[in-house]
Amino acid sequence: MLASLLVGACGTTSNATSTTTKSSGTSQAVPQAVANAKGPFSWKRYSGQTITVLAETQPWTSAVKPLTSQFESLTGIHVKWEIYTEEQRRQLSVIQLQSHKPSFDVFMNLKSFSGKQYSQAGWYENLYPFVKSSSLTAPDYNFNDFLKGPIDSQIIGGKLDGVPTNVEGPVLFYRTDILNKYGLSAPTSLAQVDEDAKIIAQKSNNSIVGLASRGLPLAVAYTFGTYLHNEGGHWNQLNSPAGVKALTEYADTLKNYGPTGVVNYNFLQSSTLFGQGKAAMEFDSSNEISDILTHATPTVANNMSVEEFPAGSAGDHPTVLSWSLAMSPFSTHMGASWLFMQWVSSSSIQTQLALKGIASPRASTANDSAYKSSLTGVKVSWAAALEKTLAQGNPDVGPAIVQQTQARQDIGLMVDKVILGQATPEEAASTAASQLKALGG
Amino acid sequence: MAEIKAQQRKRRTAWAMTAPAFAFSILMIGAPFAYTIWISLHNWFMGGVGPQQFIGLGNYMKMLGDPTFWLAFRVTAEISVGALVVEVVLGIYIAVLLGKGGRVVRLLRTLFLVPSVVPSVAAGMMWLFLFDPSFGLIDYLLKSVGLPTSSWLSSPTMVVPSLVMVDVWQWTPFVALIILGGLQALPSEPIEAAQIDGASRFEIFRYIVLPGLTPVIWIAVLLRTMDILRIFDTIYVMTQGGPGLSSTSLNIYAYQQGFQFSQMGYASALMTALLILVIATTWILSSIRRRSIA
Repeated sequence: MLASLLVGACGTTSNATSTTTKSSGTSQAVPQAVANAKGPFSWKRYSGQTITVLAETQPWTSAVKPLTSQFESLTGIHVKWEIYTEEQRRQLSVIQLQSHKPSFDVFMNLKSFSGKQYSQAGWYENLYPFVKSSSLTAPDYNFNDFLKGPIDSQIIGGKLDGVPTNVEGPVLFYRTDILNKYGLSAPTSLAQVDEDAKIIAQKSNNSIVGLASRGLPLAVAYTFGTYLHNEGGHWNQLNSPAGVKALTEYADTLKNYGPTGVVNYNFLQSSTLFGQGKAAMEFDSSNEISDILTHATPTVANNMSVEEFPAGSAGDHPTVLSWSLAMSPFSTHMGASWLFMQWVSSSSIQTQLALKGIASPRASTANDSAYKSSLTGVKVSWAAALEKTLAQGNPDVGPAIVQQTQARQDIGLMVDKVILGQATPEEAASTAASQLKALGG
Repeated sequence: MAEIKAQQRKRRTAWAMTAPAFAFSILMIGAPFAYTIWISLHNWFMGGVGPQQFIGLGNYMKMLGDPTFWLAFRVTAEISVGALVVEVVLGIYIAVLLGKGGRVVRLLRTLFLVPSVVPSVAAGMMWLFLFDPSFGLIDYLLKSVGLPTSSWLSSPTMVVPSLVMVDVWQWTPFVALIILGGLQALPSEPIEAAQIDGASRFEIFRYIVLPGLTPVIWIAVLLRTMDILRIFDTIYVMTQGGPGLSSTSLNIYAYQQGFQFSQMGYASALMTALLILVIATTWILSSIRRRSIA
């Protein structure tokens, strides 16, 4: 910790501008890489350079990394991956960007989580100059092909702070054979989710978990948020009747019919449990389809379906988000970094990723013939669920607070207190509401 | 006169020889420590707008009024006291056992030491699987003999005993090794004299061996105390301070504040408080040790 403090203290003011120059005829700063790039576009422009990509352990990374050799052959640029768990990646990003000397050029980022903090600190390089440069952006990149939601989520203060790499929304994965066995149908309301989970847990003598979902404090806002919005609640009013109702429903279902130890569960644990056939339903991100199918037993793979998460009393407002790649403003390989970012977010690569279950942020992917042909088995219901989810998506995954990690922790602890029986929903919601207010929420 | 000059020359040479080590200590230990104290006097949110803001003892006042700080203090104390007591008692027992000769005992001595050389992260990962309520061996064995199971690391009441169990498994051999060294250094004459006088084995242990081992036991207690008050890696790997805040030690809390919430100023204050706790506890134990030996 002491050594990290020394490293982190090496830059306490915001945004280094050593790589920017004023462009002629405009008032907007232009990165040196853009100013220096002349002539027609060429993938080989930065051949021989090496870039480092900071990523985290999740389905997108698992799907993209094997394709890296395609990029390296195309450009001659060598890509080094630094892959960590989500929490470690976040901490590493903050410490290294604070030092103004990060080891990475490009980093995975979730704007709904760290957008405000990073933007305020000047830790994103504005990508608009790169997108607009005909020397650095391929003619067929088609920036306008991105879906509105995913690209809007990357724009903060008029700057393009990243390129979206996927879209995901909360869906319900369920076992058709188990539901049929107990005479149940796929739930169509939050109340029915609880009822179905109860029947399954009781009739299977608790050998099958009714519903697996998140309970780990920093992860829970994503899934709890859907309950909150579907019951008409808001992040800045957690202790409203709607907020308390949502909290009660979410916590009670997991406490009574969720896996033992659910307070330590993130998407990894939920998907593992579901894939092994020990849970009848899993409520988590649509992104999990590829990991579930990769590791599922044949019984699970052949008997699962997906639907959009059921509506609550206030309708259907699932929280949706896009992961993105952002460029470090301290990178000394901005041009090469941009080539990687545009390659990984290009139509052809997004289609390849979509074939592996990573939902694309591009409109054209849905019309691609190879993608349409790949939609067989459970992927048919997955694609349909995702389409409906995205159409009604709510981007407010968490409260609009700069100190987002602290806010998510407070929300997660609120949920866990009710699951563990340490507080009533009213008490827990009231405490969390005060905490969020103190943070500026 | 020549002798005085020779002594002065010797002293200067000694200073010159130790100067690099001294400078290294100041640079690598003193400088980061001083800087941590300096940061703890500031409000510093990493990624915030503007420079760090000097707030004097503001972070320390915040800490004293922070219920999570006191919760973390309590968790740290529970884990430390719980693990230390068990490790010392078991350590003495194992040391006495290993002090006997024989081929079997020599083999056991090697096997007993294995947990101490396993890295804490690996030990944490291993026990994480053992404690898992769905896949773990512990609940499986308990179920198979008809005993009640537990949710261990997911239970607010069982998480601290579970962490104590892991620490005892890992560090009792280390304590036993220190005490074994002391046991083997004990003179045999008083024991032989007691045997001749007809003292029982318990009486020999109680009135001769144990008092003789007291200085060594105190050394083991001091070493383990300094380590366990700073417990971090097993908690981080196994529970990350959860469920809720039930296993959040002071070190874990400081880590969360600094590296998850980016509150470096407050985290520095927490680390300084932990350092003061370790120094104070060590000083108290050393004083008690000196009085008990005197």
